[in-house]
Amino acid sequence: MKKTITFSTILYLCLASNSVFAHGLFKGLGSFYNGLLHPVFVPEQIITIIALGLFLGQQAYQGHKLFFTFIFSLLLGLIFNGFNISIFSANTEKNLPIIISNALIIISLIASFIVILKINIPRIIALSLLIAGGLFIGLDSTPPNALIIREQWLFLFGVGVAVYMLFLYPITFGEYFKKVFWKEMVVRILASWIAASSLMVWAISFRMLN
Amino acid sequence: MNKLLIHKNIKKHPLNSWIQNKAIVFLLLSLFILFPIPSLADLVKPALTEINVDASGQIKIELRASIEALLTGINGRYKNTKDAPNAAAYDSLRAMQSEQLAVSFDPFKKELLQKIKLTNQSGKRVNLAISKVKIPERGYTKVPRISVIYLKGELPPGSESLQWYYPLKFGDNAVRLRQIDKQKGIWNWSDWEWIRTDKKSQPLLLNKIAIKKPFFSVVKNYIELGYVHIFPRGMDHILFILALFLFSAKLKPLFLQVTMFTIAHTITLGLSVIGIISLPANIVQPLIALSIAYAGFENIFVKELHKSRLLLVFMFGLLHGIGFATALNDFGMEKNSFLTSLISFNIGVELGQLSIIFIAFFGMAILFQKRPWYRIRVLIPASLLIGLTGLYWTVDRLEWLS
Repeated sequence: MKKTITFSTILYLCLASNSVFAHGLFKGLGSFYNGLLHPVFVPEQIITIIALGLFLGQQAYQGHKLFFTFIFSLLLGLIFNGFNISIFSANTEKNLPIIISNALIIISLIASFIVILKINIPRIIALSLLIAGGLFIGLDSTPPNALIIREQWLFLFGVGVAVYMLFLYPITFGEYFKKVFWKEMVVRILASWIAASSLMVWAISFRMLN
Repeated sequence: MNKLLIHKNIKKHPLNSWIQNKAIVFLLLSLFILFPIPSLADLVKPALTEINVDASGQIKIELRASIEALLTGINGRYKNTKDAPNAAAYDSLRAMQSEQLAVSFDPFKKELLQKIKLTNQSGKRVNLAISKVKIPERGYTKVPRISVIYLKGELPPGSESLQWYYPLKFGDNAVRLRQIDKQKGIWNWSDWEWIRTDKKSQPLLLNKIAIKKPFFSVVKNYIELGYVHIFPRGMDHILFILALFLFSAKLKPLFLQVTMFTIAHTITLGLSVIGIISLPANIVQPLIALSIAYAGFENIFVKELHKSRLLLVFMFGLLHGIGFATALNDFGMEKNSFLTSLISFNIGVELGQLSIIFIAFFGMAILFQKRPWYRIRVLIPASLLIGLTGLYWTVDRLEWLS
């Protein structure tokens, strides 16, 4: 029963909330540099990157497949964005920014709760989270319409480079602190902040919609 | 032992080599798709204004600026003309023959004369008129065409100093004043003043003939010029330094490479500035881009610092030095303090390089270098990116291809 209520609440918030939309341009900075800064200035993106990074760093998965899956999904999202490829129906497309924004917050919440609780989750779930995270960040990084096509691609390129670099920091942090118990707590505390931030962003966006 | 080992045996996980190959192919493909990287060929350069005042009170001004940038309103807010929304208009003007551009410039003359101001200490404005416009032939279109606009006017009686105003919407500009006494055969240049805000210049005093400029003022100006030329404006030099850094962030190989690069570019910078060597931009620019591509790609395939790499870095340094000289020549050298200007500019370049290494070290290497995935997740993708960027610029800068 509790699960149903929780799920319903999340679903309701998800459908009702608005995106924290920060897709403006810093004039004079150039499209590439604007793209570089974009993930930092979009709250749901940065918290998702940190949450997924901590999650990947904490979980002891071998190899690089999961990491590159995230990057591949991100590139896919950016390419969809660049070519204006729509994978959703016209109706969904209309509300896409809101849906993506909420999806990112949910992903960051799930990832940070896994880190807080330190649950070892199956690889397939991790894979799904990373695919969804990468894809949605890519799709969420729509370049401003005012830019010409070449500039739009430059913007997306900047986003790709920035997300790639930003993703490495929480991974390193998660990996570095996971070995000793008290250090491991640091990661879990940080994840709890991320979870709290996600909820706050969600609440604010919900209020903005109202 | 004729080579220095910089990477000890990397642990071979059974998955690693397979993943590494796949990852390289995947990244290559992805980057090719996502690859309209900024070409930094057409950097937006500051306008250079030289005000000549002779003893009879005649004022002659030489304003060196890109007329294409003036007409399209592309100013210093953009690092590159291609960053501007009206880059296409710029490109079409840049492709014009000089006569055509002169015709396009005619209607703009009135606005230019209205907006620029030369005033004396009491605010009295000097009436300026355009006496001539010299537009070079189209030439190599991948670099900005710097035209010279000649203005003339008369010094208001009782003037002790002049202030120059060039609107920021026309771009950054640097100004200096020359006082000439033809009878005595002497003249005096003031320091360059780089104006990056929408303000008048500092008062340019008219009583300074034969007074030597302060040493520290020259040093400061040229160090700043050298530094800014690398960081943040010189994206191609930044990428080259990053490629050297990525090859190995360890002190010895990094030190050796950077030293080779520094010695080489210092040699050609000096030789180019004094006019002993001169290579056209349409050769140097694509070669600089190619050097970036090579340095990036070599990082992926080579793990040890060979003497051949050092030699190549040296050769590439020679090329980059010619590029630095172009920037320095654009700005002009202090006639009375030639060596000071040259050395100061070079120090500025070195400081710029050190800043990049400092940022890369503390932002990247110190955190990631010891991770087992450093090579596969940082070194290879970043080097690929640098390599592909260099390759793209090489093609972009080859004029005969466009």
